[in-house]
Amino acid sequence: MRTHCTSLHWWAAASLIGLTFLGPGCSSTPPPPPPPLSVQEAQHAAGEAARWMEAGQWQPAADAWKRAGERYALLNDLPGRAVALHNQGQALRRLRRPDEAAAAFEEAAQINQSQGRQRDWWGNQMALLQLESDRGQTNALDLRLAALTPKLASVTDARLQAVFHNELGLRQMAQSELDAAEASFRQAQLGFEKAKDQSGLAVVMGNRAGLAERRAQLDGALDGWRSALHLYETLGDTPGIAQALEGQGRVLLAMPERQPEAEELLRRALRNYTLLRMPEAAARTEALLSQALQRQGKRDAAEGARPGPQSGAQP
Amino acid sequence: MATQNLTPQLRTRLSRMERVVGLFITLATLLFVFGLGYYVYQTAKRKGWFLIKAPYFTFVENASGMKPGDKVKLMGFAVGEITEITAQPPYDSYNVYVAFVVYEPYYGYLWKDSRARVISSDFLGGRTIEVTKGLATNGVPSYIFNEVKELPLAQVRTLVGKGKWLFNDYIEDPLSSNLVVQVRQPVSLEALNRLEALGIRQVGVFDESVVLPRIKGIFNDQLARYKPFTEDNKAGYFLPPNESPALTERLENVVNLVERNIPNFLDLTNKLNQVLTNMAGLAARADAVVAETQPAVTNLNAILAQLSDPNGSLGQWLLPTNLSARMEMVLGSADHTMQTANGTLLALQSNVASLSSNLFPSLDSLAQITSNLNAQVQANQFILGDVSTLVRNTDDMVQGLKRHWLMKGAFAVPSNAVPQNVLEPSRGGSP
Repeated sequence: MRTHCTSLHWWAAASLIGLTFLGPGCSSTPPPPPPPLSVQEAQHAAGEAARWMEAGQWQPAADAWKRAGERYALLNDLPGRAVALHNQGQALRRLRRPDEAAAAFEEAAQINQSQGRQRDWWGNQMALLQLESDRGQTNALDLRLAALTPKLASVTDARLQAVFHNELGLRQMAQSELDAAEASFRQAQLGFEKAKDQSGLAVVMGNRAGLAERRAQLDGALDGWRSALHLYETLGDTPGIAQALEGQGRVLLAMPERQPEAEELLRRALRNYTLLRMPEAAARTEALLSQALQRQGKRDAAEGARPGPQSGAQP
Repeated sequence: MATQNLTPQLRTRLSRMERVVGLFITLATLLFVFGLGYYVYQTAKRKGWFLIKAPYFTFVENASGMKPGDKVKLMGFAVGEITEITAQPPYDSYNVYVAFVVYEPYYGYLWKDSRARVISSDFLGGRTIEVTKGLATNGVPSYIFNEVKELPLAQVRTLVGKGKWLFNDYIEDPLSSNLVVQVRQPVSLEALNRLEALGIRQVGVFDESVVLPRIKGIFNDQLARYKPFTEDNKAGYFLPPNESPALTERLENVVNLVERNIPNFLDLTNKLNQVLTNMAGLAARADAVVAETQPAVTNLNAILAQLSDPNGSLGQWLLPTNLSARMEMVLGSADHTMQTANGTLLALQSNVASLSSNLFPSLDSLAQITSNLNAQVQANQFILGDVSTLVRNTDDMVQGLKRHWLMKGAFAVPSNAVPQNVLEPSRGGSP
């Protein structure tokens, strides 16, 4: 009887305590008031554009960012407009419209400079670097790198620094300054690790693997590509996966005893590039695959290396 | 010498002058008396002092333009006069009580369907009463000069064939509502038998052949019979009014109407004036145009005269001979082209036919799908409404869950954060 009363008391106390803790939290707060309609429209346009970017649909993304930029301009939201211009430029860059992309990046940089937004201004400069690299404007690229390098210390964003070092390393690698490139890629890797950016980390690993290939460090390159492939698989980055497969195949192609592995990897990379509609990369990989097949004496197969329509890929 | 100084023997002898004076005064007095009497007679005649006056009354909306002493008219004759005009009590349905009399013998024209019309008498706002003559068939006069009596049926039977006895009653058969007797209906045995059959023991009658010098009976509209004319009904017989506004009031209404519509008339006349002005200008310009077209008409006549030549003059005029030959060549090649096009169209037609035949199965399938869907919707005409309601209710439920303290953590708060720059590191190509 006494025990039963005691258990009842515990139950009552526990219920009371629970209600005491749960009671204050039982208020259902009303949702916050919605922003004005024009602001909603601008945010909606920006969100839509971001989704197009994620999906890799560059033309709709460019149009959506343009609309978002116009809406931000109507709201006199200069930072928002600058972001929209920058991202529009990124989409235009993917669409191989470098002049329009450059104009967008330049306008965004002007706005960010006038607004004192240094971080975004640096992002615009990075984008311009990448664009100039795509266009092969090496002089402009070198001038910009030379102008930005002294100011890099003022950048507190680790990711921005990492991107800069990555671009610098690629340029140095193109200039055959392999040691400097190695140092730059190392800085970039540290920066991405600090920023916990797995995607950037994967890219830098791939770039370092490429550098190792330049240095004929095949094992190091193979390890680098495998690490990059693992990260790309984790991130679901299909172009990166295809690139990592190609890289591995390329490295294995240089190993006479591992031609079949190279063939397999290159064939998979080619299929992926074809599915991703990346003709240049596909052509490059096809050439490597042909080499692999020829080295194995598979001359006829080398001639029909590209996968046909029955596999669902487009020529 | 003064007459008083004469002796009594001499006083009896008057002078001639005194005799003449006396005669003159006598004659003058007689004339005066005669004149007075004549005047009194005419006055009496004019005012109807010796005439029987039948009293009547009516009610009007207002007494404007009327006063006691105004004449009452009947068919243009002055047959009476207004005797009293009095305002009714405040809550009465009528406004003004007007009593008037109608002289002998004009009251005989006034029956139970007569009316008292209030008409304008002049242009100064004066109004008067005009009574209307009774028109109904078997009309009932408002007054009778015969003694009304209530007699037993047996006694009335004895009166049949004697004098001119008329019924003074309004009796209906209670079962069939058929009229048995009415006022001024001649007394007859048949009517008496019917009354007896209904159980009626006495009936009102009067002898029309015995005319008395005074009013003996006044018609009662409610009872539909004559009642004895006594002090109780000395106000007289009620004639329903038929009032028209005074002439001045009507003229005033007309003036107001004209005044209200004058702007519209003026506007209309202005527009007409404008139209006429425009037409005058147009006519003037048309006249100038006609003068200018005179040479053109002359030339046209010449052309028509030339065209009247039956040897294809129009064709020769429009198409010179060389142009005609080239036209023939063109027409020949066009004919060939048309034949080719015809063949092409035939081929196209067959292709279209085959295409449409291929499309038909697809369209049939599509039609079947839509008809099935339509049947579904028809079977449940509320399905769309139900689906819409379901969606709304589901959204309401989800919105409520978003705000509930226990569930709101499961819903991601939509971010209104400003988007960030997209910046990906470059991937090196092949080394």
